[in-house]
Amino acid sequence: MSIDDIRTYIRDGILMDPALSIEPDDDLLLSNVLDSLRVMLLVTHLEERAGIDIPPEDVTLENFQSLRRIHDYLGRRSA
Amino acid sequence: MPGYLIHHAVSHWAERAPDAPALIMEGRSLSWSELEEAGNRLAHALLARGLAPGDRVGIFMHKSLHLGVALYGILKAGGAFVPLDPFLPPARLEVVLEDCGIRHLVASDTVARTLESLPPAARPSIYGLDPRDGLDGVSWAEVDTHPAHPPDLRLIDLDLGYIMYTSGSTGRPKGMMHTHRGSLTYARWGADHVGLGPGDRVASHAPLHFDLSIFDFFSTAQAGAAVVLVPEGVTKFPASFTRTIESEGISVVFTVPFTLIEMLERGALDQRDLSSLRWILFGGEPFPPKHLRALMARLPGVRFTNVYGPAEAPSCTCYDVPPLAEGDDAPIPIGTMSRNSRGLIIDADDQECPVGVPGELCVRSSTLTLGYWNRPELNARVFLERPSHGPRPEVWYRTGDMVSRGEDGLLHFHGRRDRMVKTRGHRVELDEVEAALCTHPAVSEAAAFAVPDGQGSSAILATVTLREGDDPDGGEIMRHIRGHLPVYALPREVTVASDLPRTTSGKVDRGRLRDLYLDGRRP
Repeated sequence: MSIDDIRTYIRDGILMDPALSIEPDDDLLLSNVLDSLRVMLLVTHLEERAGIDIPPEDVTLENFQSLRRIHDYLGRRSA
Repeated sequence: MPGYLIHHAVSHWAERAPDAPALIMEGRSLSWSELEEAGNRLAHALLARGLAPGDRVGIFMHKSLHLGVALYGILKAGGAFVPLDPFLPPARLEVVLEDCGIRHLVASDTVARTLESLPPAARPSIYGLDPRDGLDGVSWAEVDTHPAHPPDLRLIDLDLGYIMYTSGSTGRPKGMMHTHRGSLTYARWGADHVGLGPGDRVASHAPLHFDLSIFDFFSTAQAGAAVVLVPEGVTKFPASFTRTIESEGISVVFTVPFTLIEMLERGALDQRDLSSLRWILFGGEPFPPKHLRALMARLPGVRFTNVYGPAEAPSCTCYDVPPLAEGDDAPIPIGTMSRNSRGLIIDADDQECPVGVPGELCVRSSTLTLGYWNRPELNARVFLERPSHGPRPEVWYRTGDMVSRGEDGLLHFHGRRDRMVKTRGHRVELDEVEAALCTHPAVSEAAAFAVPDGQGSSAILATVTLREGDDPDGGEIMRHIRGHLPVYALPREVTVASDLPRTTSGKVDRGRLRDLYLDGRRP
């Protein structure tokens, strides 16, 4: 999944706000784009789309702080 | 116990345990003596810019060690602190700044963009920001040029300590005023109940604008223990939070059931050593027994206490949860009145209810708010006066919560008597959500309702009808209200309908909307 794919899902699928601008390194938590419920939605979506199982211990601030970090995490998992 | 004002605890421990940690966050810490000096310097900086006793000072910051300095600096200067949600949109921030007459504000760099969006006339004097275009700021470097000794002021324990804002049913948030004495009653009750001592490390998990933070900071300071500030980002990831508990050796946590259920389900508990944890207090919402039982089984060395009390009268009642029998799914009682609190359960005619009959809980307590800032009509409505032996009547607070007393003397919670809901521990007035929806020019009518979110809490949903000729979708309306409501009060979904169901008297039937939603059908 590309950074664009992740951004599109967050904007259209979770926030229902297609006009929102999110840069790859924006802090998704400090800007309050994600809260804990939305993180859960995102994890479920990523699991389905990427066909992987994301264990709870991987759902951390380090792996989900920005679009780039999510992308990097998925990259490591599919490597 | 250290002194009769909230901030006396800092001076007390600065003298007796100067090098012990007072605040800890992400590998950095402030000792009691450092906190004492930094607080004094901020107090002098505020006074130098004209702060007068009783002035309200906003705290608009994400979690940081400076947040603790802000709390005590404001109190030391004789001001009352007003915690503001750092995620507030500018329009909402402006409403609170104006309502409360806030002319001084301590901020963090992370909120500078919101402050820049305020109209210049609405901007207070700002402390804690590096100077930048358009914002009149006093940097921490400049604060640090002020004297390190305490300001010489005459303050008493009946002076205002803080004002906490919460959702208001008219669409305008309301601020409740608390004195030093009330806060200390709450803080000392908490410190005693849990037996806090200098070795404890208490998590500051809740945001500052949530009244659990009064326990986190001030109960901890009473005992000379350390507060571990948990960054906002970490609080959204259960596995990150449990790792913080482990790595920081946190011993006491006060939070909402939602957080604990998340911890149970997604906190990677089987990979953590949480042996430092000895007491969990929870409140804000009922804790579903099956989840609580499972958590107690996972954390056998931890004691659990249910703490009930609206932010107007914190820690009214408490209940130390005994081991829960398998299959016993009776709701967890809210327990008995805490010390310094009396309760009265009354019916619609203000008469006391017999045992077992639910009525509205009224409270008389030294933790009780002085009332809402600048809201005489509301104050007249929520306080009940009853005859006393003295020259003035006793003042009781109507909680709006339906409560019964069992044969065993334990109190049980039965929900609200109005349209306030709790979502993940936050109070939200559904009327306020509807008022925000109606500020969209295309919205004709709005109905907000709450449904169970499957996580032991409630989710807010809304249905709107549109004015003729307009056709924004739910997403555009969501985007609009995001500028008017705090994040936790946002509906999870806004549905556009051609009309709303009505009761026979013609009122919008929100119960029917809720049932339709739960049945999987949309209006």
